Parts: sequence; C-alpha cells; structure tokens
Amino acid sequence: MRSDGYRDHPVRSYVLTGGRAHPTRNTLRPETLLRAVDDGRELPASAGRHERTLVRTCRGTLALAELAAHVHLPVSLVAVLVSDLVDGGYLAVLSTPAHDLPAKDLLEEVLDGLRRL
Amino acid sequence: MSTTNPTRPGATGRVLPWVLVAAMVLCVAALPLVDPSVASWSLWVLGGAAVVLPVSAAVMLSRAARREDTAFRALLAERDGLATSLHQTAQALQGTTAALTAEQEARADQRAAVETAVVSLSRKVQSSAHRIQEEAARMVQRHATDPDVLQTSMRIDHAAAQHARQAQSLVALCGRRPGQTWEDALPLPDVVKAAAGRITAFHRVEVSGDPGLAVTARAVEPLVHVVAELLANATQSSPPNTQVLVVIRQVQRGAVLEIDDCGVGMDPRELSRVRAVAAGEHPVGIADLGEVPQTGLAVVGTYARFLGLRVDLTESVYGGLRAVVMVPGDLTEVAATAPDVLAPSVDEAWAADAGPASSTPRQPARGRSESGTGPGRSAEPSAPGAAAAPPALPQRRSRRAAMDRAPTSGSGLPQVVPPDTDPMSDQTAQEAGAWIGAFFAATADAPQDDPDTHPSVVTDGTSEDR
Repeated sequence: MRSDGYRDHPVRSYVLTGGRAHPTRNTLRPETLLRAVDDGRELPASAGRHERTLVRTCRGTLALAELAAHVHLPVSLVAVLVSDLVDGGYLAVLSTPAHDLPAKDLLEEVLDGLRRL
Repeated sequence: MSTTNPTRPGATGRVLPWVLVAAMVLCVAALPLVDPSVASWSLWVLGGAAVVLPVSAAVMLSRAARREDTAFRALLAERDGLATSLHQTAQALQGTTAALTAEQEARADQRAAVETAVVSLSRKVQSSAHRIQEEAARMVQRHATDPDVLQTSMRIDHAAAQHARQAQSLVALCGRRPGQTWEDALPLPDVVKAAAGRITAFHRVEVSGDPGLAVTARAVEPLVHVVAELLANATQSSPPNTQVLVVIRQVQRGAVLEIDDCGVGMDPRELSRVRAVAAGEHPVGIADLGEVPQTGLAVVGTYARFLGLRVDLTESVYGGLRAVVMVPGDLTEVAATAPDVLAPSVDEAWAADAGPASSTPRQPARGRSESGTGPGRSAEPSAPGAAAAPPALPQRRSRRAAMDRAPTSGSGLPQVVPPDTDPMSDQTAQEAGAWIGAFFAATADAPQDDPDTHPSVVTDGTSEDR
C-alpha cells in the first residue's frame, strides 16, 4: 500500500463544505488570483478555523492552486471554500475570467527556453 | 419424632419412683402411730405398702433407664447417619463447585477468544475503511480540479467513515481502546466536526462556541467517537429537518460539550436506564447487547470510563434530549492558532516536484496511525506524540516568520527546515508560482499595495516577496 504523502485528519472534507463539492462560482480556476479583502471587517465568530486560515493565508496575493498547496488541500475543495468566502466578501478575485491565458504553444516555447538555460 | 417424645415419659418415670419412695418413707413413719389394737389390718396395709412401693419404684427406675438408653442409642445412630449424609452432601457440593468453576473458566476463555476474534476482525474492517478513505483522497488529488470527482470522493469518504465508526464500536464494546490514534491535539470545534463526519446526517450538526481549547492527542479519537455516537443518537431521534445543536463551553475544570436534539425525549424510567449506561456506571459488553443491539451509549459509557469523562443525559429545553460531556482539564490544552492541516491531504504531487528533498526517505502516512492491523503491531495504541514524523517535502517560509515561530515549534505550520542550504534548490513550484502571482498582483494594483496596511503577515504570504 502506498501511504507516502498521505496525511490523514479527523475532520473530513465533506464536513468543511457541508457536503458541497461544486463551488458557488464557476469562474474559479487554479490560476485565479485571490486576495484577502482588507476592509477591517473580521470574519464572523461562527467562522471555522479553516476559513480563518484561508483568509489569513491570502493576506498576500495567491493563486487558488497555491492557496490549496499552502493549506494542503485539493484545489477543487479549496475552490468551494474560497467561493463561499468570496461570496461573503472576505476574499477578492483579482484576475477576471476574461483574462486570456497564454496559448499552449507559447508556454511550451518558454518551457523549452528555460530548459536550455 | 423419637428425639422429643421419650423425654416426657422419661421425666415422669424419673420423678414417679421418688414419689413412691417418699410414700414408703411416710408409710414406715406412720407405722408406730397406728394403734395395733384398733386395726390390725391397717398395719398390714402400711407394711405391705412399705414393701411394694420401693419394689415398684425400683422396677420403674430400671425401666426408665432402659428406655433412656434406647433413646440415646437411637439418637447416636441418627447422628451418625446425619454426619454421613452431611459428608456426602459436602462432597457433592464440592464437586459441583469445581465443575462450576471449570465451566466459568471455560466460558471466560471462550468469551475472551470471541472478543479477541471480534477485535481483530473489526480492526481489519476499520483499517480497510481507512484505506478506502485514503484512496478517495488520492483520487481527488489526481483530479484536483474536477468537482465531480470531489463529490464522488466525498461520498466514498463519508460511507467509509461510518463504516470505520461501526467497526471501532465493536472494538470498544470488547473493552479495548480505539485502534486509531492521532498525533496532534484537536481543537474542540474540530472534534465536533470530526464526529459529525462519522454520522449519516452530518449536515444537521451545528457547532457554536470556541473557547480556544483543544483535546490532547491521546484523547482525540475516543472523544470524537463519543461525540459521534451522541450525535448519531441525536440525529436519529429527532425529525430530519431539525438541527442538532452543539455548544462548547470552557468551565473551571475543563470543557463541556452540550448536544441538544429537538426530538420527543424519553420517558423517565428509560432515561434513568440510559443515563447509567452513558455515564459508564455499569460496563456493557458485547455479550450484553441483546437482540436489538444499541451500541451507541454503551460505547459512550466505555470511553467515559477509560478517559474519566462525565457524561449525562437530561431533558433538553428544546424538547428532546441533552447530552452533556464534561472533558476534564487534564485532557484539554490551549489550541494552536495556526492549524497545520485542515483535512486529509495528499502531498505526493509536491513531493515529486520537490527536487532535493525527495531524496529523503518517504515518511509513512502521518496523522493517523493504526495499531493491531497487521503483524508486528501491538494491540494497544502507540504512545501519543511518539515518532511525530515530519512531512518530507520542503516548506516555503520567510526567515522572519521562521524566527518568530522558532520558540513554539510544537505548533503552527511547517516544523521542518529543509536540510540543504542552497537557496536556489529550495525553490519549489509553490514558491515560483507565488512569486509570479505576486508580480502580477503588484502590477495590477500597485497603488493600494502598501505593505503597512497588513503588517502582521502570519503565514507565508507573498507580501515579503514584494
């Protein structure tokens, strides 16, 4: 049995999201940049530890995938949690979906160039 | 029959001769008083009486003596007979006692054997459920952006969690400690969340109150199980559209969890019975469950005895039942403010990218450790906190944050500084991505980007990179 890298936790992911696996916003992508809204508003007292951790981790700007890596959770799970926080006004989405991604060819060229260095 | 009756004739038989002797003495004494000229016949009578009376007295005495002798011999014989039968009875009793003891021992052995088998099978079931959960987590990690995969994984995880709970209940009813242990203390709200994850209707559980207390590592699993069983009872005995409210309070001698349901409650006699079971006053084993096994409160009682929890069930102000769990102060500690991990995670993708760090030996699954699931593992859980294996992947950190955190390295995010000192080789995909993200962000909203507005960056944000 491969157990490397797996780290168990008593709190299961479906409890964190209340059983939801689909985020309230479908515009969140792994590269979407997030940032904590710094308007002096505190999270409500009922907010859980995970929500506080996400908001705190996003004090600097982070992409969704990075945020997920920081909190050691799958991107799809963090997307659900983050979209709730965005809905609540505690996190802001900095990149818009209209923002075009570079073409795959370009990325591959950059990668090749980097490898040649 | 013959022991009481002969005493009376014997007594009269003993008294009567003396009466006769006394009469004879009177007769002899009367002889000189009688005038011989008046009545010679009375002389004859007195003389005759003086002769006859002692003779008859002697005859009566001898007969009485013979009668007593016979009675005495009968008594002796009876005593001997009784002694013999007593001896026989004692022997029979001894034999029966020996047989009974042997039978009891055999039964105890049998019961122990059955319990051992149940425990070992249950632990196997439990560990296979945990493997299912692990596979579900890996599935999500492999398809990290697909919500449908996440949904499926959640369902599998949920089903397996309930499966594992039932298996662990069996272990508890056999009087054994849980096979699962955790290495880190868990904040009380998370204990309730963890417990909710093991019941069917987890979405009906509502937690409020966070006194900033955590449960020490060794008590995490039993307490989660206790709360899970109480939540399962609460959700099952209340309408499906109602919430089960859990309030956490700090008290002088520890912490209290109150679990209220909105059901119909229980009649007083039944309530007093289940109270005793839940408080652990009488041990309830697997053999005492009966035809309709109600394992929940029996498990609660077992763990309450193990841990010294105080569990009580009362009428709830909401109409249903209120379960109160008092966690003693020696099982609580101050909760760490920055939890390391929030839910099960798989780090293998990052470990593969980590370059130099991946050459360090891979650590086995951290967090959950099971015992008794395979050969070479002891039946009792390992000492908590022992062998707290650090994650193998390098963690990005700011030096300042690392220095701030150094004295309290027992909690908080990463605990392991990568051993290599080459700054370039630490750079992971996270770091590179974060740098680019920061770069974009800085160009996107440079005017508001005043570092003074958020001076207290606790975690490894990107603000320092700017």
